[in-house]
Amino acid sequence: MSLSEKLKEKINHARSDPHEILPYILSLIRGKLFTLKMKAFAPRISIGSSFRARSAFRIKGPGKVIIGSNVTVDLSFLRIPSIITHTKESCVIIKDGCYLGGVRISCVGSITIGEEGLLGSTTIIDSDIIPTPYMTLDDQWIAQHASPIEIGSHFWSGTNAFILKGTKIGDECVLGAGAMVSEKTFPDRSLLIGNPARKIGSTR
Amino acid sequence: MINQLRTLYYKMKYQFLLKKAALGKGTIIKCKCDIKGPGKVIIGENCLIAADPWGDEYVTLFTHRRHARIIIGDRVVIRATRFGSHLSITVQDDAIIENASIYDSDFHNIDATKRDKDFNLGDRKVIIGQSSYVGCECLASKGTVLGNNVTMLPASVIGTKIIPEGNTISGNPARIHKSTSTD
Repeated sequence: MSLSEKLKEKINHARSDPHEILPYILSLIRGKLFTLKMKAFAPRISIGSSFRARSAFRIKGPGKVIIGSNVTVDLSFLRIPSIITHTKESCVIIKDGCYLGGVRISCVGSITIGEEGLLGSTTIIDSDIIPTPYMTLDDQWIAQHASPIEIGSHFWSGTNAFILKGTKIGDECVLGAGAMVSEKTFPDRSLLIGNPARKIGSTR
Repeated sequence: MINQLRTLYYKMKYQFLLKKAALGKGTIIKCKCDIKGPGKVIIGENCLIAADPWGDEYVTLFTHRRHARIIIGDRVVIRATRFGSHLSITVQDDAIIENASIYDSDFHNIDATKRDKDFNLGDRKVIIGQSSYVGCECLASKGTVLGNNVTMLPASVIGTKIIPEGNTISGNPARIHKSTSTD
């Protein structure tokens, strides 16, 4: 796609809902300030181009956080999105085009979220217990209590959903509101509902 | 004293300046309250809008369409509840709603390829009956109709179901627990 086509598309999009123009520009500025702040004080965190922050955003802890381009961060019913890492080896990867609304992530091992994900106030925890500062996080503890989470592209999760340790979800899946998944793998295009979550159909 | 000042501030802001909401006589707002969107919110008389016991202190009443309505009856207690409406949400008299979420739409399309083009989501109205109780961290999704005197136990999730009068429901997805009606 050439540059003029991209501009035309953006102008058409702005015409369709004009009250979204000012928040869009403000969020771009806020996102740029956030990336500059992270570059200055936390070099282990890398953020891609045109990052949009519509609200406050918290990243804490000694681990790595890699965020792709075109990612949007927002409040979801006034919950602030936050990412917490607990060890130096822990790694959170969020790929291009994701929308994180009120997401809370606690990471010991590794968490991956695929392209174009749409997450609304979801809690993602990859260990049994969220570690306190008084615990010693050696390899044995990690092997016993934590296992990585992998989520495919075009994923959508509803409000109050929980994704717990050892979950592997394929592409184009939908997780219903209030659902809970842990230690299971699901194929592509599955529609998941309930606590514990089970597959009740396909999305296409 | 502080609560009366706070109620007066919200009344001035939302009823007279922005003309989004109508607050009834004797209603007290004890926490932060946020009303957004092009629709309208109607709150009855002698209601109590308060914070959660453990500090979650926001009540959000969001309407996403021009025709969307949130109607709350008399003597209703609302504690840190989140409302999101495309069509209409009705809460009848004497109901108690804890730290729950009540929506009448899916807000996005399930199919990932149509998500930014097709907006026919099949919205349905939500009605919560007289003197019924919705517990903490509950979720009532589109098409929920609770009859009078229904108890919804904490952390249960319900959608597109009609629950008759006087029942207790729990679980995710919610099922009828036991019948408490006498006749």
